Amino acid sequence: MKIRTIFYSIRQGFKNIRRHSFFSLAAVGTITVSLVLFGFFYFVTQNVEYIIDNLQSEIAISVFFNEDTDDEKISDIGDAIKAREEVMSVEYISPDEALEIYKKTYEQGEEFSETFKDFNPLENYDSYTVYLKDVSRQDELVEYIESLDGVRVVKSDKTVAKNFSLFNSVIGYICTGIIVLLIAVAIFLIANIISMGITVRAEEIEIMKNIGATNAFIRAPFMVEGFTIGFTGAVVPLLILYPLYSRVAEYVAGRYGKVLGGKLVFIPTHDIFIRLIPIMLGIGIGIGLIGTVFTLVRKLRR
Amino acid sequence: MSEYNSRLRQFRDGDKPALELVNVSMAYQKDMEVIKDVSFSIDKGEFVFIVGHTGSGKSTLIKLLMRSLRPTAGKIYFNGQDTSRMRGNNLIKFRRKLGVVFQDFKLLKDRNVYENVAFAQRVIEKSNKEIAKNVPSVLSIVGLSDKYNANPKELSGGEQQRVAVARALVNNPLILLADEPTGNLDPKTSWEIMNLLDDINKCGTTVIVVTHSEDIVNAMQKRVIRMENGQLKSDVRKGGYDIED
Ligand SMILES: Nc1ncnc2c1ncn2[C@@H]1O[C@H](COP(=O)(O)OP(=O)(O)OP(=O)(O)O)[C@@H](O)[C@H]1O
Ligand SMILES: [Mg+2]
Repeated sequence: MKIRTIFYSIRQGFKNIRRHSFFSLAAVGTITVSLVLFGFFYFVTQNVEYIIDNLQSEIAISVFFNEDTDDEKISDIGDAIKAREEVMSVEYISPDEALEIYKKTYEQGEEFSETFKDFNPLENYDSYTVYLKDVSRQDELVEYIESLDGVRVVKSDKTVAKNFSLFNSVIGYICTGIIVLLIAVAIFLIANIISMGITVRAEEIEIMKNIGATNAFIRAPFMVEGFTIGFTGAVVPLLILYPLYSRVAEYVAGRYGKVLGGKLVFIPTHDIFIRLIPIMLGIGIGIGLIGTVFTLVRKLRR
Repeated sequence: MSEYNSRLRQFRDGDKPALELVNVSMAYQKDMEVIKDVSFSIDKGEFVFIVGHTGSGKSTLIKLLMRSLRPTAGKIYFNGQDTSRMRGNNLIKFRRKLGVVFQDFKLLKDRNVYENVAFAQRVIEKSNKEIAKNVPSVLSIVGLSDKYNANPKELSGGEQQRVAVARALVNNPLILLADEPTGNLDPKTSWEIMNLLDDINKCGTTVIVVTHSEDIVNAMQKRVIRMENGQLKSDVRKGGYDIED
């Protein structure tokens, strides 16, 4: 196809859009709504995952030992845990370090330090802190460690991650359902717009065929039309979502930035949009072209 | 126009007929033939009238000739090639060698005269430079140079048909097919259009015209093919409208 034909097709495509601007707007609107929803869905799931990832390093298992477990045994247990593939790292915490941590956590002052200068009440409380690569395999690991000889207590805090994951999948199902429905409506609307366009231009198409137009020449304006509607339907939600997200992310950072060791922050606006923009454009343009091609194949067979 | 002339000459040099129908039948619905076993051939450079009562199958015949329809039986040859076998690119090439004109003009109301004629050139992807040269040239042939910017709605029937003829001519067809081109026009305007088609024929283009205008057919003394109930009733070299009965 020649360049001038492409320009001609673009002009004709825009003429079609103007000719039934109401329906074109309706289609753009539907795509916009479905993609705004998709955007919310994407933000929530991505951020939950991001936060879980961040917290993952915080969510650890503490392993304590029987009083009669000697140092060699403890070190063997450490090696056994380290060998597990779901384990990211294992950190040994001596009784002295444990006391330090206790002091910090409960903000004890000078008096406390004086009292326990020569006597560590946590003498037998040396432990391993085990960090996981994947919190979802926590149960498995706890079970394993408990089965090891010489281990006294295994403490794990799994509720946070569990709840987050569940939340994510529930949101996922609901949003996927709504989005699929809206996308179907959008494809249907575009198919109808193109179908109307073919009807309105039936005589012109007839003349074109008689003159000896190629299939591509006849179809190109409709492709331009479908593409433009889909593209616009993707750009509008991006323009809505970008300022919205950056504001929410800022708010969350200001409000919760210091909670949980600064782990409860959102993905930076730029980082998330760099991934979201191509996805949205792909879906929008995809909707436009699928609706168009579907109708063209059905209605313009020679 | 010189390139067109050499194309025409090349086309006319071959010894095959421009169009040839061999035992052609056509039915829109099963067992309802509206064209029944019709055979005739049209030589290159001929001017042929097709006449007959309403419903006798003239328009169907034109649609078969332009390969807008395919015969249910028989063959149609263009310059020796079986048109019903043409597909894709071959069909497109064939259509580009034809010009067609209809009773209802079939102009595009959303663009002016110039763009209506240019449309035919855009469809076959001519450059703007060629379009700017060819369109004024055919508009002057049909005598509409000064109306190039008018909308079809602002033109008389005769003028609209001239635009349609210009559009059919601009791509330099080897064969011009016209289905009742004067059906909506008064006698004087009809004559102008027929004379225009005659002039085009004199330049070498094969012209086939379906018409109900007895006076014109009688006066022009061209070949006349008469259809009746889908069959070929008569085919007279230099005929008038009313030779039969
Ligand atoms: N698309 C169609 N589907 C079914 N039957 C058709 C169709 N087009 C034409 N016919 C029938 O075929 C027969 C021939 O029609 P056609 O239009 O070829 O006649 P015609 O000679 O051009 O008539 P007129 O002088 O009125 O234009 C008629 O009986 C008509 O009813
Ligand atoms: Mg007819």
